[in-house]
Amino acid sequence: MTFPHNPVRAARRKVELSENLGDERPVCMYCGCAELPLLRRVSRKFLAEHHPLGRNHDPALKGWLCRNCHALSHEKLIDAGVDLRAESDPVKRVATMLRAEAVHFEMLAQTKREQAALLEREEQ
Amino acid sequence: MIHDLYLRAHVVVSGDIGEQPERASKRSRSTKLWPDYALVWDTETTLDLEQALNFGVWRFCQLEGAEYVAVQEGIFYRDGLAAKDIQTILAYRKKHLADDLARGADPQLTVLSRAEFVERVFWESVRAGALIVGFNLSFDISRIAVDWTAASNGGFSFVLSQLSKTKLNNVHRPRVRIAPLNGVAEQIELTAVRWEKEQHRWRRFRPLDLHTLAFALTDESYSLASAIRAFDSQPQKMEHDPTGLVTDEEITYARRDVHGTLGLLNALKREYELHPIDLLPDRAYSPASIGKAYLRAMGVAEPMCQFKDIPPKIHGIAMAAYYGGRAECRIRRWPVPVVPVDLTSEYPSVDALLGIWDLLTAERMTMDDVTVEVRALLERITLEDLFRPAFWKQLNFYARIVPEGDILPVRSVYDSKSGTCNIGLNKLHWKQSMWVAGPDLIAAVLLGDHIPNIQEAVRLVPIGKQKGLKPVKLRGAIAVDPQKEDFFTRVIEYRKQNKHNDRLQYFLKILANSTSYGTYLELNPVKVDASNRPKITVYSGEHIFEQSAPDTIEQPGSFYFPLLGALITSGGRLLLAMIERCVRDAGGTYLCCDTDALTIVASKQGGMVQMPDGAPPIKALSWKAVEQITERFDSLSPYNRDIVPHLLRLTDENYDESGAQRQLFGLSIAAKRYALYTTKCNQPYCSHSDCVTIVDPKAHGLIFFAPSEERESGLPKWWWELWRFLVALEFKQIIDPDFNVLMFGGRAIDSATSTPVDGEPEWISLPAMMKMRISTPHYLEQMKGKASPFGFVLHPRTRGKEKLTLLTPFSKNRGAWAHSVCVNTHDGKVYSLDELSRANVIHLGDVLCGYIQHAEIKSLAPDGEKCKAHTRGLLCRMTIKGGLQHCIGKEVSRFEQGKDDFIENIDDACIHYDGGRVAANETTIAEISGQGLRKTAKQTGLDRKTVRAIIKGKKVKIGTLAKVVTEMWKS
Repeated sequence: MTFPHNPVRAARRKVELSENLGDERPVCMYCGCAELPLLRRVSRKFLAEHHPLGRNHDPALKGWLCRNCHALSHEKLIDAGVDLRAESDPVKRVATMLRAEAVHFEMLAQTKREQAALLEREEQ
Repeated sequence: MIHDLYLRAHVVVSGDIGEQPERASKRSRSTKLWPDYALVWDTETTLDLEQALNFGVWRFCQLEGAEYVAVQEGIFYRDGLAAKDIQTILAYRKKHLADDLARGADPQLTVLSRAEFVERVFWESVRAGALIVGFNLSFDISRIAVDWTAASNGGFSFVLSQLSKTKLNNVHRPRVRIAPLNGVAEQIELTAVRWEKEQHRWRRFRPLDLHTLAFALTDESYSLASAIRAFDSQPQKMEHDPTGLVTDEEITYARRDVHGTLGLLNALKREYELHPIDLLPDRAYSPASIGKAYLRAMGVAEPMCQFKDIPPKIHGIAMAAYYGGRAECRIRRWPVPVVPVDLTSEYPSVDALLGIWDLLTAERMTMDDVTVEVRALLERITLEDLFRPAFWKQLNFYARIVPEGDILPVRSVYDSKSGTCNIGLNKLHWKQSMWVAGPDLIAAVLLGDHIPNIQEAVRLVPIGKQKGLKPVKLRGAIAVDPQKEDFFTRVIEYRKQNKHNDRLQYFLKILANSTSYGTYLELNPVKVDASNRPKITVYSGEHIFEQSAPDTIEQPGSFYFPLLGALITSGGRLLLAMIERCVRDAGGTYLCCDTDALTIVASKQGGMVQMPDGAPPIKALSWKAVEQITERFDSLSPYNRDIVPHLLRLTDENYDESGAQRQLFGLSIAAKRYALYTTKCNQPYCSHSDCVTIVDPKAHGLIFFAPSEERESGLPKWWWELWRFLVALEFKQIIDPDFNVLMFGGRAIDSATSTPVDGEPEWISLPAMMKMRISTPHYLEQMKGKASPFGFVLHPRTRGKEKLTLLTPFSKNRGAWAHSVCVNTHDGKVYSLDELSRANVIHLGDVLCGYIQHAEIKSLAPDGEKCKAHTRGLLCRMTIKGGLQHCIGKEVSRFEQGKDDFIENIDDACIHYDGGRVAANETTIAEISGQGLRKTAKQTGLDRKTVRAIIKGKKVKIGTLAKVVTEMWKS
């Protein structure tokens, strides 16, 4: 284990980053990444606050994502034809949410497969 | 004798007066009990009065598993330290590496200046939410401060950061505000910064003084070395006398201290984690904090919230009826054979007998009118009734009586010279009515000769059980169910069952004591902003009035509930009165008593004991008779007999090393000033040297004059020496009434031969030095700023003919005390103590002389006159005629004992809520009206306008009303 050159400052930065994210130990729900710098705030939003079904469709459903997975999930949402803008027609809105959910589950499924493979490799 | 009566008051403040420390401890969900980081540090200072920073050492630690492990070690030095000293530190850094760091950490020692340390380590650690850990942390923080001012809460406000070029205070950094909370703990907090948007950076400040935490866990005031030993932590502190210089040895010593402090932090953390409580360790200020946290863990609601429908007037009644423990001397300066007895865990036992736990955990509480029932109870009560535990459940009442010579606790100024309040159990006559707690009233019946005149009585009745009560494991080992068990009884039983486990049984003792009484009367003084004084309503018995707040008001603790507190202490006094009555019924008497103990005059076979000055002899009970008294109390015990065999027992001093009972003798000077001893010749006094062996010495009031650090059988060695000498002097004076001792220049001189008296202790000629710690700006002001905040100083006592108030740096080297170089705080001149005339300096011999002459002012001499310095023999109770009623706050001794017996505070004795002006009560007004205005004015010498104002109920000066009341008593 190696320690930073200035452990006091590093401790302060870690605590402040963690507090900015509003969670004690945030972890990316897709890849399991727990590196605080990757979960740091960019532009005016908390990148960690990812809405798998779209903020306009279900603001309550949130999760932590690292910068990489967040970018990737939005690419996949676009690929799946998910429109993240507000939709007034309830039928269209539910259909959009179902598509977004499918993307979310696909990504989760991919994560679980990778984790299973990783476990088996470690076992060997 | 007419005495003004001083009654405690319950005060309600309109508006908020600031956050109370305990309540602030309710942590948010995200605050960890033990954060991820800790900064452990210590400072080394010069040895003069200023005690300025030389250098300091820190270890920055990270929580790995269950322990803090250091990841960086460094040294910081005073800004402007001499270049050669800085070179010494830099050279040291080249020669040494940091030791015992986490694997992978940089082993190089970091060296910074004070300013750099504050910016790069201290503030960064605060922002990281690290525990800021020290032993006597306030002292260390004050050493790295560059400036200070008096804070609005009565403490110090320290500036740590200045702008480097302009030397102006850095307004982007908060100040550190430190105010004393009790004799041991300080409240350390950060002030607000100027810009609100920066405020969030500083909210993670977590100061942890290990001295305070160790005290909270054990009720012991440790030094660093003794705490390390007590908690078996590593490494041990180095044996070293600080030189006040910057040398390699000093740096090594300081590093070892910090290393030892880190070890202690981990040891205390392990101990603290055994307790299933939700209290942050940095908020554990005393054993009471831990006790209250346990009550919360059991789901016990704060009584003032739970029983909020009880009006403040009722709390005022309870406060007016509240008195502390009873301590008195009955036989003065006359040696007698004794058998001391004491009650097992007096207050927890009273709690169990009075059903306090049922009241505390009740869903609701009502106050029922029981006037008729109480009158009937007092008519028929016998001593035998009180030995039935079920009978005690009826005693939860308060009664209003008109005292007509009833023996009651009386708080008054018995000695006008000292001006301090004392509590004595005396015969009281008062023209107005007063509230008394039920058990005190029963004690008055037991000890008096008539039934008190009851005007009205109310009883506390518990209804139902609170919801949400849940079992808790005490120190992680013993389960207690608050729903089904009496908490206090269980704690005491578990303590007796776990005698083999020192730490556990000691903790249980502390828990029982802290939750059984003091918690319900916890009041913390809070300074009031003079520019914005709130209105307060003062309730004290029937006396209710409004006024603007004085400089200091008392803020209640979270479990404050005087209705319980006043009953508990009253129950303790009733138990003591029962012992006294049993002794009296057997024809005996007692030497002295103190709260839960009575020292009975008794010898193996019993018989008569001669008294001085031809007074009638007194009867000494036989050991058998004493045993019969103690056995009588067994029926009252709330405990399982197999675990706690006796409620009243003979104290350990009664037995020799083989466990056989031995004949003890006792000599008492005043309340709490007595010694127990044995003699080889088995006589109370004799002329043989080396015949006396002191068994139990008490040195109340002398604790601050520590002439030696050595201990003997757990007590300071000099207490034993003091009493050996005092006892020998008393014997000489009894055997030879012409023998007279003069204390001059610190020597005890035989006035007949002008030679020093044999056997005087070595330290008797040392100057009387008081150990002091400067804990408030007010105190520093009294020292005319000649010392520094939180500094440790010695104050040689001098005679007040000249303006001479001396201060000298604290030193353990007693041999050099006589040659101390002192500063006179009045003119700043420097004196060597041996340059001053011996007559001007008070020596320990003089203090000792004053000690033995201390009169028992609460009692009368055998001849019925005032008790004086030379009074000997069996004292008697005073008859007091009550004068004016004064409403007061918590009684504080003038010298408050603090850390390691240093005096902390010489502030005001107590808060007076009448502000020097009082209004006459209804009885006085009625009497003046009955007598007529003109006659009253003539009798008292007051003008009619003043008398008219008194009749109208307007407030007048205390002295003015006192004249009227005195004349009323005469007529």
